[in-house]
Amino acid sequence: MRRFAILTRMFGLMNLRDREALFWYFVFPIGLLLVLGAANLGSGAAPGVVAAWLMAGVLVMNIMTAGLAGDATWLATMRDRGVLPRLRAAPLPVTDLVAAYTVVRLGLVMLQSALIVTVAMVVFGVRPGWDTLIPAMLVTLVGGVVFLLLGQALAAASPTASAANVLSNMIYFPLLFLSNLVIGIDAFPDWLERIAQWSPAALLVDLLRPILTSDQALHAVWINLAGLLGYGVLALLVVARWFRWESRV
Amino acid sequence: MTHDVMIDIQDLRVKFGNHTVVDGLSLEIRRGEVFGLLGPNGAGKTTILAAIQGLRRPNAGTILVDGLDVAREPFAVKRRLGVQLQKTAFFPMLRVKEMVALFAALYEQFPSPQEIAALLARFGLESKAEARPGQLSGGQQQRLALALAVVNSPTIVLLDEPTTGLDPQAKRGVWGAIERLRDEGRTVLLTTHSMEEAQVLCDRVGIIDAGRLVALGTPAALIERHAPPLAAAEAARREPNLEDVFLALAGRRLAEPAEDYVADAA
Repeated sequence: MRRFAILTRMFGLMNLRDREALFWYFVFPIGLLLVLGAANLGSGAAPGVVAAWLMAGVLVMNIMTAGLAGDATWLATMRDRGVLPRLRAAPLPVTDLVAAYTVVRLGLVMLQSALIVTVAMVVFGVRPGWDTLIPAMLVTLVGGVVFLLLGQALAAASPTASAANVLSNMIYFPLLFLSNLVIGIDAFPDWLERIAQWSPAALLVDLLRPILTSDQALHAVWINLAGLLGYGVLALLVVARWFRWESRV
Repeated sequence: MTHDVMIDIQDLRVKFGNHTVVDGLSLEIRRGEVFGLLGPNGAGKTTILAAIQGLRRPNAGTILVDGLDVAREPFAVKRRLGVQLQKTAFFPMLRVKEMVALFAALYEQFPSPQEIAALLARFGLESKAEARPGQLSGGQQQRLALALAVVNSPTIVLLDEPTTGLDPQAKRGVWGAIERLRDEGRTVLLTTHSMEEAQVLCDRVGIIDAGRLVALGTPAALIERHAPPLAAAEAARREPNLEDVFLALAGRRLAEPAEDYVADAA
């Protein structure tokens, strides 16, 4: 237990001291929420309604950033630097390592999410009750796990940290714009909308947004959950097949 | 295996695909000695260390570490080993003292701040406790890697090319640290492609070429047995050395990689 506590503390310190990551995890999503929320102030819609819609999208964007950009690149970088092989040389059960890492990463996702919600409440007057916040937290956790797994899968499938970075960007940016996060999916042509609604980010936001706003979901809850579960299982299979402790370079 | 043999390797064979990287190696490392695996890049030295740590599964052969079978008791073996890999593996965002605490925790050891300071002082890093790895010189990074390798008070320390890329002064600092490990009674197995390092540090040397052990003995005995006589002009300038031994046995210099070099086998 003491080892787990130290591992968790050190992983936490590594994350909190990474200024570039902090920008993407805290400054960027909150800045985006503020800018887009302010831009919609004069649109005629009630500010709280627009902000709640945006907040749900930014929450999912943040989960996606943590998984696809953060986890994928971090894991591949640690592998390239020889840190993973060094950890493997110690008598440390892999489960302990994975558990400590997961706790820290999910903890960070929840912290970021809490900050985003707080900003939406303070600046735009969004007023979610506990009856919406608790299910939203559960959905956020589910999304955090799925995108963490997707990040691990990207790292496993990439030969180097640079490749992981390129691959995650190639997936991240299309998902950012096409998944109904901060741009409504109904703005796209029908054929694109039909494809985009099945992305993991679109499924997650389709679960989260109806909880936080009065929006209707595109799919039933069980379909969104099954879709996310499917992505999670696919990611696990990729990790199981291609995970490497050592760099290929 | 006698009580004084700390690492007992018998008929070790490791393949990467169709490429044989370690080919029937048998070797015994004795308690308290500094043993050097000397060979060019691609000779299979790192693979041998990886197999001893249980990180590379052999295709054939057995490895006993302090009497424990690596294949059957990998965790017990890992607890006895201190490890420094070829790449100095640090977490860039952690301070030196935090890294010591983290690596100690991996071995379920929890040193006090005073014990961490004492460990760093042993390796001349007492003033660097608050520094991050990127703020250390190459020599300091290698000494930190050594400190992390003994954080679990191991009986056996495996060092993979501990001085590669260091300037002469930094190299001597690392050699001093390795000599202290021997003085503390630890068994040290290091890999190197520097004949100078092998001669200065090692009690015994095993010369590896293309995954095979081609010679074994003390540096002096190997030179006496295998080094050809030097021409008069050259003999006036220098003594015969392990480079001459390798040249005589392998037909090329240590700096030249094995003919069928593969990066993974470096």
